[in-house]
Amino acid sequence: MAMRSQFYDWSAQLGTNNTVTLGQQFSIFTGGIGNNIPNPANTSANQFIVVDEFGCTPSAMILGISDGGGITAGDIYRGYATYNSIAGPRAFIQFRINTTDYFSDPDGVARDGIPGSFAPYPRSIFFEPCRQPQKPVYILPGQTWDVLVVAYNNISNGATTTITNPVFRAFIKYTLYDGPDAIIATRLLEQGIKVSPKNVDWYKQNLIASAPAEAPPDMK
Amino acid sequence: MAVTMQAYEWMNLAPLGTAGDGVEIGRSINGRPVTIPPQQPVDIFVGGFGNNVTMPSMVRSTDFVVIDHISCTPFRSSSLNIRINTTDYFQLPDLSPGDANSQTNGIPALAIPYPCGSANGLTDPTNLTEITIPFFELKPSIYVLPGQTWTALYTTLNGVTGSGVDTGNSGTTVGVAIQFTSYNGTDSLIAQKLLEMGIPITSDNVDWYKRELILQGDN
Repeated sequence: MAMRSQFYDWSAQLGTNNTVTLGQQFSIFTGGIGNNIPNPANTSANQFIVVDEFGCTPSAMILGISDGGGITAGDIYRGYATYNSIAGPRAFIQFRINTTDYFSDPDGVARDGIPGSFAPYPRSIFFEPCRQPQKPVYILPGQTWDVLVVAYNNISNGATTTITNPVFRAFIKYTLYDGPDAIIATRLLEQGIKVSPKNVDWYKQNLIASAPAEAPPDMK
Repeated sequence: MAVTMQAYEWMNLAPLGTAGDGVEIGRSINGRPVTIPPQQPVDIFVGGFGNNVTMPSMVRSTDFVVIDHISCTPFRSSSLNIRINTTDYFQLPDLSPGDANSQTNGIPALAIPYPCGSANGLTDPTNLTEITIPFFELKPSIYVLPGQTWTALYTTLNGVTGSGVDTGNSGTTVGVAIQFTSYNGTDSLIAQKLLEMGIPITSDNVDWYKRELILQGDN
């Protein structure tokens, strides 16, 4: 199993701690909220990871009652509770590779990352990804990586700073290249070739085609 | 991280307790909609409404930015334009600039909804059951060269009403999302070279140019 599709699905409603503090970024792997894993995510020296798809709970904007809208606070709209004229938790997803946050705002400051409304999970006719396909995120051999999420909007119709048991999820789909395939992935990266299963296979085919037909003397 | 995809979301939300016009750097919890006057282009980075960033977005000499995707909530006859230095990118057919008074200040949000699938409030404003899908794709992409300043201008023809201190749904929320690719360092130089050669600047084409360079080096 040298090249594998993998995923991680996180939900604030799983696990033993289901309370999310608004405005506080936390890890979906080891943040202590929802379902977690015991150790931080990392790649070993012979692994290469390409995160292909990611997303978190989206939020819908609401036409206010003052402007003719009819959705009242606490109503469920498009599957999410409404508050402050937003249906959903106003969530963001961010990658952290070693100690560097991947997504930054136009002033160069790394803040919350990608909004869930831009990269929604789950997807529906109300919430489609703004742009497909997403551009991949590479995690090189030996790097530690993390996925952070944050929510800003209370969805329980109150001005509290925490939400309990919210509909708040995140999902990542990644390809894990292992062993020789990780070496090939690194080689492709050096050569400026996109790291994908198809390109890794192509590189392998080229290696096999260029191998000498006869084994070297010491191998006989 | 020489080629990175970035996305920025602006919303007309300001901190708790802010009535009327409000602005914040970054985002705070339980932000409430702020009022946006009609027919007034609002800079989504430093315009003084909703969440802003610390300074105008300038592409440094070692960077190259390609704006790939723009979208905007289609309430209250909203539209979106990109401004590079002092020039608005989207013009009228007679090449005149957009007019904030006539819903022509950029692309109408109905063609670039955010979130994708958003309601538009036109046929069913009470229940907001509509689903708006994109009509416009940003092809070709917009290039922002080193040394240039860029921003996006949000304009609403009808105005957006804020909620002041009300915690319910009296105010209207609108948002803008922009996705751009940032080419940094040597990749920025390659992007400029591709531009000179008339080749579209994409991450695949930058990679292709790098491979050509490596092959030349090998020879």
